[in-house]
Amino acid sequence: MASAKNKLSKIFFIVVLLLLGTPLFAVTLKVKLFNAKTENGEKNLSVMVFETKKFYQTDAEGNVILEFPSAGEYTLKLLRESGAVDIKINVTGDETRTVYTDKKAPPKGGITVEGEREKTVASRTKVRYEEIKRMPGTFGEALRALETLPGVIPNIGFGGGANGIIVRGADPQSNTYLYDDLPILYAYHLDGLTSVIHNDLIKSIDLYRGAFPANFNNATGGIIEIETIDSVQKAKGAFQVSLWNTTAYAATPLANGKGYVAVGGKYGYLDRTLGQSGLLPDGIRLPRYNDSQVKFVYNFSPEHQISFYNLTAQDNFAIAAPNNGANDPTKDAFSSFAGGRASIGQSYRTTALRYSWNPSDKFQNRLTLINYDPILENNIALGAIQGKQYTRSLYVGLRQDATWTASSNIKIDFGSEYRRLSFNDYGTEIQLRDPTNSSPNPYNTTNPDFLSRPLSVRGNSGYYNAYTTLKFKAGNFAFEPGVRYDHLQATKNGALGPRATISYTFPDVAKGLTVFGSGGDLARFPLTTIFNPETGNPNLEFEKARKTGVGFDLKITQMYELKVEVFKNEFKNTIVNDPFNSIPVGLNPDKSQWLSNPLVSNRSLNYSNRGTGWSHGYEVMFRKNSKQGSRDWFGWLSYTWSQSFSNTNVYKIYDGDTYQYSGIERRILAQYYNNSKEQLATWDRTHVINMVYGWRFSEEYQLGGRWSYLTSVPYQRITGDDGGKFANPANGVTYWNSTVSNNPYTAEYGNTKRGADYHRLDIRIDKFENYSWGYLNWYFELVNIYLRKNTNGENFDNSRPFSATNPIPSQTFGTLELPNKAIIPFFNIGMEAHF
Amino acid sequence: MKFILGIFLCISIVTIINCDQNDNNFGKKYETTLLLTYITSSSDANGACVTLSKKQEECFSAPAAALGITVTTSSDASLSSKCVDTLKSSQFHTMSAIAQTCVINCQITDWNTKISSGECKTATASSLVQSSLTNAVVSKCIRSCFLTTNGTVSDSELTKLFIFNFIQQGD
Repeated sequence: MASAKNKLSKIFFIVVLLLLGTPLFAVTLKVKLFNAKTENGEKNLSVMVFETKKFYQTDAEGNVILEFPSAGEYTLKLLRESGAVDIKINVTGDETRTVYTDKKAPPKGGITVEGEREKTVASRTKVRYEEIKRMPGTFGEALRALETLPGVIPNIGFGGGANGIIVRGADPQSNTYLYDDLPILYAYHLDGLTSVIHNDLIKSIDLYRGAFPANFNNATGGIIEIETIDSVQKAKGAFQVSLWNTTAYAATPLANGKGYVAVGGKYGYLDRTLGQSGLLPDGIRLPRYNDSQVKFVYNFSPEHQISFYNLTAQDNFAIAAPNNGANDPTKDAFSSFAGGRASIGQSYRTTALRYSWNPSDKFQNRLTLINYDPILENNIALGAIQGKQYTRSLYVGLRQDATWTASSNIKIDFGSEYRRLSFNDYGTEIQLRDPTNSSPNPYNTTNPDFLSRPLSVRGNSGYYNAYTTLKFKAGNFAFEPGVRYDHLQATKNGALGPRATISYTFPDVAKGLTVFGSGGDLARFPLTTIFNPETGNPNLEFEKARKTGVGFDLKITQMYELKVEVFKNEFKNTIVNDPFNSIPVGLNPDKSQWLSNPLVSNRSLNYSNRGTGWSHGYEVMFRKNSKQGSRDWFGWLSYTWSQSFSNTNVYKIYDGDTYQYSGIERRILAQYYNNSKEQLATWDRTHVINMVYGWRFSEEYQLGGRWSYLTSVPYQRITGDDGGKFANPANGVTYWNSTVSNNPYTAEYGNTKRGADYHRLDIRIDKFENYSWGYLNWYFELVNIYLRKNTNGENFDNSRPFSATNPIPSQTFGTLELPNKAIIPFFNIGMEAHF
Repeated sequence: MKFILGIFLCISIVTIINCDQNDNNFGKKYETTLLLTYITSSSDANGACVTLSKKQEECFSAPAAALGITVTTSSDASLSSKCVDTLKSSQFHTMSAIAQTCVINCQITDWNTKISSGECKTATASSLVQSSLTNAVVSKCIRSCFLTTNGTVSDSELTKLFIFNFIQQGD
């Protein structure tokens, strides 16, 4: 009954939405006439719309509001003293637009704003490549500039853990990175510094933090949409060498400008530079990586275009702690782990062929054939932790995206996709026997805390989705409802995600004030094999998030902008390790026992959708855009206040609970008695402030500055050790396992402790040398200028017992220690040659 | 225009109605299975204990019975009384009735096997006890009583869960 009511209300909602879609007004276009030669607006210029014979006059900054009876193509006559100039424009609906009245090549380093398709105003921030490619503290990686945007919490550190950003309190693993709408498995290499995309291929990056449009999928966090260059006017190239990698880029037009090819790549050799310096302990082989990107575009005609992509990245890292036999923890940094080894690898390949059909301004369609091949590998041996796993989750998919301008007020986006998944997962999987155990001991031989489970999973599954978004505009009012549906055949589970954005612009408040709100349901399914029916849970559902937000965007002047947003996110159905979820009888997960013991009772499903979480907060961004086509300074100040909470909702046995229940009673308790405590998420940071500044103050030099402030993340306070019950069998060194509170009624329980706040100032100076063949860009980057000793959590030395000096705050990188013990800021020197 | 809107309306409604049906009701089935398993789990620990004691008496009297000697067996009431004491002992008093019953049932199966295999007629008392303590099938059965899915019972904890009421009797 409730379900029927629900459906009726949804139908009523849709009817109301669509009735609102009736066109009510003529089209109004707010135009800024901008002269690129003089770098000024066309002030006090008379403009006639030829078709309507109506006259208008621009204001002192070149702004004018034009009215048209309907959408279509019109001619603007600019009535200059030197004579009339005709400009043709295509009017599709009410919008604000800059029209260039004269052309001039922008100076090197200048910023040119190119046309772009309309995008949602709510919870989205766009950064252009020119604004971020020389940002200090990013080591030349444009993608790292995302960390400075509102609503984003960076992962501080160096190495694999520094890879993901946290968007509005969502798990860093729940973001989706798209490269021209194509999937990439990861955005940063294992060194945590370097991105997998060559900078020069990036045109712009859009970060969607809220209820993103329906054409995006598979994220309960943010969508990072990376748009790459869409034209190449002349052959060009770039080459960059630094301490840890070399990058190269080349692009050239083809077939008399009908197409182009752009190729970028990177090769990392940190293991051969820093790794050979003798500064690192024995046994560490620093990350090796490479990546490549190929984009080929050919326009048969203005209506037909094909493009081909091939994106790859490969990373690996290894450590083998040597057994020096000295048994002296003071001399051997790895004595506790001697004899242990670990190697991890990850890679992906995305190959795509895309056909774009643009028969008219009113309709565009795009077909993309995608072959996506992500691979994860690990081989780990440390005490009871013994595992070697290879996971490949390949798919071949066909995707269609179309845009139809139904009228001057209504535009409809719609699309669909089918993927054929082919997954292969084999080896030995490592799992915690009790996922709620906060202090597992790798050397516990009495009752091992870790399980090694043989794994041999192969399978195929279908996945399909469809979406549509209605974009309705009437005057200054815009309303964009959308819905998408995703279905994974392997789990027989689907997720419906309605969403909507509403906005109203007050054109007379300063240079325009837009008030907006958005909300919607989003879904995600991790691309793993945890849904397999042999060792996983085939009943897993999509992870869900409900996101809402309201805010305003005030254009104070043409250059200054203030954007404020308040948000709340709720996460549910989050997939967690669950030791209680099971089926009464199932196939033995260990296939080697299928002859002797094919069936097991209470076969563990290992995972469930019990996880929940929520976050809320507000964001402020004050931005100074650079003057169009100039070398004007630019920058922004962003501030985010937020709180993020998470709860696994997995039943936990706390200290003092010595009562012995049978297995069925424990499972009943786990199902009905939720004693798991909600905690601050481990990535929560209450305050995040970023100040970014960039100024190309001369033809030869550019200066950049960045200051970041972050509240420290919360962590579990280490309250003691296990008394050194176990030792490393390789060298007999006692392994002191740290312990944390397992009593929810104590102040130490959970993520309750925070370290000192994190802040640092970074500066970068670029020098440009122009030559007939191109230019050289030398850069010098100073990180953490005022030598702040920033920390991130605690570090416990397992070779020593718990004491006043163990644990100690864990230092983050950002300073360098010279042989004479002097501390200097971390620095980076590099050179880019652009041909 | 209205035609276009009509098409969009139809597509939207059909999409929402058809797609908003969650065909995965595993959660409800799981709860039902749990509850059914729970209510069909025996919790008569004392009754199971009495049965176990009888089986042990039967086994230990087997050699005598084989020789035609009549052995006096304990009454249900006395066994039940002893079982009450046993189940109050330190290793059992913090255990739920279902867990107690499950553990004892594992041992009943073990003693049944001993009786049916004729082991009782030939083996000594100490070897019978020892065979119970070292029997992997019994250990696995007892462990499964506490196993949620990945639960653990250490060996030292396990041996405490064996009941040998005849030893307490001094038989």
